[in-house]
Amino acid sequence: MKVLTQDVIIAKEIECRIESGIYPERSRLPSERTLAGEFGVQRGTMRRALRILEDKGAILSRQRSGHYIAPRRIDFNLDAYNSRKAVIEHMGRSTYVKLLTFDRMFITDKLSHKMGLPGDTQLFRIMRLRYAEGAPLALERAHILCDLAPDITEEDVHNRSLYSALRQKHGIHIDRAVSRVSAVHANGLESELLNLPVSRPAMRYEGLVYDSRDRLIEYFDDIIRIDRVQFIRKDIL
Amino acid sequence: MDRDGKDRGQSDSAILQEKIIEQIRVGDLLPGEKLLSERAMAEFYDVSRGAVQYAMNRLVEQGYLYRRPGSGTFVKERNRSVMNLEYQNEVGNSGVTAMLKNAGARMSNRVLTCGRIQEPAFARKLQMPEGKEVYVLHRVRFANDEAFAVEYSAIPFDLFPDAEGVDFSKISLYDYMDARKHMPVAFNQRFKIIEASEREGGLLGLRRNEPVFHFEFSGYDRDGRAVEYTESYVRCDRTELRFNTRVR
Repeated sequence: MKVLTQDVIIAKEIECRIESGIYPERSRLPSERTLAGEFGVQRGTMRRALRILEDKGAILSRQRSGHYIAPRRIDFNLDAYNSRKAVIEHMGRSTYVKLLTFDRMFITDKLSHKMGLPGDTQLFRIMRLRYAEGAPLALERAHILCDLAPDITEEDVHNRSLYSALRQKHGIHIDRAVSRVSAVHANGLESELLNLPVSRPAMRYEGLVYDSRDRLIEYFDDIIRIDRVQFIRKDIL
Repeated sequence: MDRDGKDRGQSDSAILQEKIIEQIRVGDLLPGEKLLSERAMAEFYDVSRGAVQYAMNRLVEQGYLYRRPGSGTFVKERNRSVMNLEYQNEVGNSGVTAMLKNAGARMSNRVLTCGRIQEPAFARKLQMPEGKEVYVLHRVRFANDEAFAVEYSAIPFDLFPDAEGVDFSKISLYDYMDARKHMPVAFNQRFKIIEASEREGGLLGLRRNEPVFHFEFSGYDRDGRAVEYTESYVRCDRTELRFNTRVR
């Protein structure tokens, strides 16, 4: 038995070309026929190789026009927490947020459990839809402790950085996050906002955010398009 | 009950079951959380108590819920492994298995294929000249006898010339690498969520388009030499990833 089949090996080779920039993001991949010729394999083998890359989200197929290299994913760094805006702009990508709702509420049972706070705690709940490069990326739901940041207003978070507002108005310096990532199926509203077919998987990125004085400031609960992000950590540069 | 009434009762209960499963899945109902009483639930969802009872019984049978006599129905603690992405460096051991081992799962694995290959793409991943051989190990990993990960690992053949004689269904790859003095101690890693492919999804018992974590690890030994490149597909439904991050 072969250790690895041709399609797996070819997929890896093309992946290397994408990573090294030989095939730039959003560019059109040579046709299946051309590639099959180059690698000296049957069209069927080549098709399976392309399928592997499609499954990983490395390439996108467009009807009648072939395959394109997927846009580069946004890198969330496992070693460095930062505002979403900073993360995306650091990669040279544009981003903005649309404010969906802003309200003040008493903590729910579920949040009280997650945040370890009593039932009479009040929170600002801020729902925003984040775009990267003009396309929906994430539904961001932030919950901020009213007591610590009483002066936050709608204007502060409408296409502006929540963390800058916290710093400027309340001297709160965001310092660290305790996070978790899991997979969920997007519900109807989430699918619609993120422009996904119904009940496709989405990434849930949740976290408790603390400031430099080790106070719990925020609980965030974001639903993110799985094809647009990855988490990275580098010990070796 | 007439025929229509019975049909409606059954579909009400089926819908209610789905709703509750969904709430558990997205975390609206948490492990250990108490459900409303059957009467309150019937009122809340506007269905008959019979439908609620039927739905609850099914969910208890299916292992989503459990009853504590005299105190109510609760969401069962799920057997979700937690992979803590942060501890790996401290214990000097990484990879999905090591993380899960720390979480207490009983691990085993099946080798699908293994052997040496001479392929430039894999050599490059290990920062070796293109003509060099790598040893590839393709495994399904089991936690408590359930398939949870499909892995492809590549290691430089010249550093591990006797790899072909090792039975990696019994011996851990890291134990072997450690014995050969090239244990990975530093890692570059990345992960994303993708939709399960036919190949890896099939091996994990997933339907197409179900989500799966995709990890890549590049491991370096203490001399900074690239000694491992692993790609791992991990079931999402039994795993959540945790990590702490600081502002830099």
